[in-house]
Formats: sequence, structure tokens, C-alpha cells
Amino acid sequence: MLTHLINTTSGEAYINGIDVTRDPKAALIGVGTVVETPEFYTYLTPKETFELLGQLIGMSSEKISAETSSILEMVKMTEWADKKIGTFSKGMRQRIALGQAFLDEPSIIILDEPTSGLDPRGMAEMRDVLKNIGNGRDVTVVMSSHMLHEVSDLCDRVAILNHGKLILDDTIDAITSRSGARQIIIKLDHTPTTDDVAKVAAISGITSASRFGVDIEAKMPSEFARSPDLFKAISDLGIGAYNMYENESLEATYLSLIKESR
Amino acid sequence: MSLTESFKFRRGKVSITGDDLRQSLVIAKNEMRKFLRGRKILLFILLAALFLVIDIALPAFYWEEFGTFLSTPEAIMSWHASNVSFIVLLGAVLFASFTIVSEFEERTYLLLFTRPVKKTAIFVGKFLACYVITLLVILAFYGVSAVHSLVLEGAVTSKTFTSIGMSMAYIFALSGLAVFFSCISKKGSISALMTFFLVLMVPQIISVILMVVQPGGDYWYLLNIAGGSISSIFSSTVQISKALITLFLWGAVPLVLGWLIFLRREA
Repeated sequence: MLTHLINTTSGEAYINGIDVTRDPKAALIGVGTVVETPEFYTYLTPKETFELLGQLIGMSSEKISAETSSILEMVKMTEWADKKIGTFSKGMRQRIALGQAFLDEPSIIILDEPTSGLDPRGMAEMRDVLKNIGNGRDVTVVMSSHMLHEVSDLCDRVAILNHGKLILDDTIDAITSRSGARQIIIKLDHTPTTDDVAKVAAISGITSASRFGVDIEAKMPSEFARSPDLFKAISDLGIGAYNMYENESLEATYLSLIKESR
Repeated sequence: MSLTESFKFRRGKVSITGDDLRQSLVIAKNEMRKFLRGRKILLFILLAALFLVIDIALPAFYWEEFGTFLSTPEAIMSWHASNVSFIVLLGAVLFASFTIVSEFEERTYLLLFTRPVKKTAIFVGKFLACYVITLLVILAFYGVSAVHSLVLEGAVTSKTFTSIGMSMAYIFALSGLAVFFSCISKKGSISALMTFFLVLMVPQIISVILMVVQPGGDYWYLLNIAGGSISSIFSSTVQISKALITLFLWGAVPLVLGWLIFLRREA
């Protein structure tokens, strides 16, 4: 509805203060979009595609030319600038899709499931580009996704919708510490023994520990999870710990919120 | 007052500005580029050329049979113009019947429709491109036909220009119908088949039925009868304004209906 692909039956939706249901053209000025995995005009090259879209939104030839070079560099497609898009892989097309959204320095970029339908390599490439799109730019990126690991990896603010109702809108940090506890996954150079788990559970500040596949999952208060003392304490155990990372807690929060809202 | 504002007018919820017209031209230019880089244009030119070759070769090889018949510039141009309506139909099938539906079928609408551009501007641009590409081939066809007339009879009848005018109206009618089918179809192939068979067969069947039911009637409002004036203009008296209005309505009504459907159409 925000990108005017679906007609509204009722209500209003504003972009930069303009109701997209009343004046979609005015509302979408200064907005770049990537909806799922769009297809391109296969007879055009990335340069020609940017030229077409740039002309459509009223950019000058000079500006189109200047922005095309920098955007293609950003999405790592410079060497493919003059090749027909018809020959591109899905991942490459999606990078071009992301690039075109940056034409004319938009103030808002709407990404709807930007990695959907991509193979693992395409997803990784896309995520790599997405991580850096805000660098040095005054732009708000609105991304919708069902992949919660991707959301917690890329976003700093999350809104959760359930059956069309907003049930949460907060920063990632606030959401992940909502329950007051965090989970840390500790990787060992061997399969954890009961003794290893007990040693971890005995660390002061850790509330519980258990086997988590071939790793150990430790639960602790939010503030302790971010303490440098935790690293030292686990290292000092001498249980062969070589890596630790925070377990996905957005998913747990999401599932509990969905359950609550039923 | 800016250029955009000077062009602006409103009729209820629909408004067209100078910027919308500029965007329509950008869309039309891209659509033309698509046609020119595709295979359909080659097929279209090839089929039009085939008609010309047959029209020129037959009299050349069988002059005894054709000599009396093609004895005036009017007769030569009528001979060629009798193929124009079919070539226009081919143009409508190859270009206009795909122009809207292809955006949905090929998912390029996700790229185009999410930009600050009105659907009306997209619709106008696409129709314009389909109209122009068919017209260019038809003009080339008339050009070669005129040269043939010059070679055989040393003259080209001024009725050629009237016939071109009728052809332009016929292109509008068939493109309008084809764009309508393109707006209501899920697949380009379905739209193309509907355009081809409904335009080629349905008016013929209706006119045959009418002529059987009421022989000698004036069925000027039928698409094939109005379109037939493209060639009959050379040999008989044709009510040009009546034929032009008929062809205009045959194009305008489906075009407006197609536009209304397109405005509400979602993937």
C-alpha cells in the first residue's frame, strides 16, 4: 500500500506527511523501493535502466550519469554496467534493484523482503550491501522481513505486526532485553560434557546453563551479557571454549508476543 | 506559473500535468526501444514486406491477368491498401496486446509502478508507443506502394493520403481494442489470441449474419466495414467522417475501459 501497488479499501498511509492513498505520485517523490525480487527490462543494461528510471523521476542527464557510477560501485556491479540485465543472476539483479532505489538521493528507502527468493550466496551478497547502505547517507531504511536473524542483524528499530495490528515498536536493544535475560552460546573444541556445563553454570552472574546441540547455552541478566568479565570467566574455565555469541532473542520475543496477542 | 502548472487541469479525481506528459514520453521512448530491440519488430516488418513482395510480384509475373485490373493509380493503391487492415491487426497483436499485461507477467511493474509516476502516464506512454510503431510500418508500406504506383502508372493518386488517414484511425481502433485485452488478461499470449480472433472473426461473423438477415443494409458501424474504407476509398464513394468517427469510437471506448481497469489493477 505504501508503494501504491495495492489499492487501499480504507484508511490512510503517510510518507513524509503526504497521504499515499490520495496522492501517490507526490508521496513517492524522494522514496526508493525494492519490492521482493523485481524483474528488469532484460533488453536494458544497468546504466540504461538507471537512465530510464532517472529520466522518469526528472533527474538531469549529468546527475543520472554521476549517480550511476557511484551507485554501481556501492552495489559492486561496476564491471557489469554495460551488460544486458537479461544475462544476470538473481542475486546480481537484486543488487541492481537495490541500486536503483538510491537514485536521486532518496530520504526513505522501502525494502520489502529484499532477500526473498535468493540463493544463500545471493542472500549473503545482498546482506553485505544492506549492512553498509546507511553509511554516510541521510536516509531512513524501512525493511519488511520474516527472517528475524536478518532483521536483528541489519535493523536498529523493529516494529512487529500481527494480523494487521502493530504489537511492538522499539529498538533492537530494548526488544532483546525485554525479558531481562539474554542467552549466550558458547562453542567448545569438543562435545560438551556434563562437567563442562556445570562449570559454566557455576560462573557468578550466569543464572543457568544447558547443552544446546554441540554447544552450551548460558542464560544471564542483560547487563552481565555485555560485561568483559564474562569472556575472561569462560576462558579461565579451561574447557576449550573458542567462540561465543548471543543467541537470537528477537525470535523468542516475537514468538511470545504472537502468543500473547492471540 | 511553472510549465507543469500551466498544463495542469482537473476533472474530478483525474489530473494530468506537464510532468505526467513528460513521463509518458519517457515510457513511450522505452517501449519503442523494447520493440526495436526485440524480435517482434523483425517479424512484423517481415510480414509487411511479404505482403508487398506478393503485391508487386504477382502483377509482374502475371501481367496479362492483372494488367487490365491494375490500369490506374487508384487501382494499384487499392490493391496494396487491401492488405493494410491485416497488417494493422498484426501490429496490434504483436505490440499493443502485450504492452500492459507484460508488465505484470514479467514482474517489471514492481520497478515501474513504485516510482512517482501516475498509472495514467504509463498507460498513455505505452499506447503511444504501440500506435507509433504500427504507424511507422504502415507509412513505410504506403511509401513502397506509392513507388510501385509511380513505376507502373507514373502517378500516385491523392486519395492515398485519405487512405493513410483512415489507416491511422484503424490503427487507433485496433490498438485500443488490443490494449483493452492487455488490461484484462493475465497472460500476453491470451491477450494476443483474443485480439487476433475477436478482431478478425467476430466482426466478419456479425456482418455475415446481418447481411443474411437483412440483405443490402448499411452496416457502417461494424469494425470491418469501417476498416474496409482504407481500400474502398480508391474505388467508391466513402463517407469519410462517418467511418472516421466509427473507428475512433471502436478504439476510444475499449481504451477508456482498459484504462479504468488498469487504474484498479493489482498484480
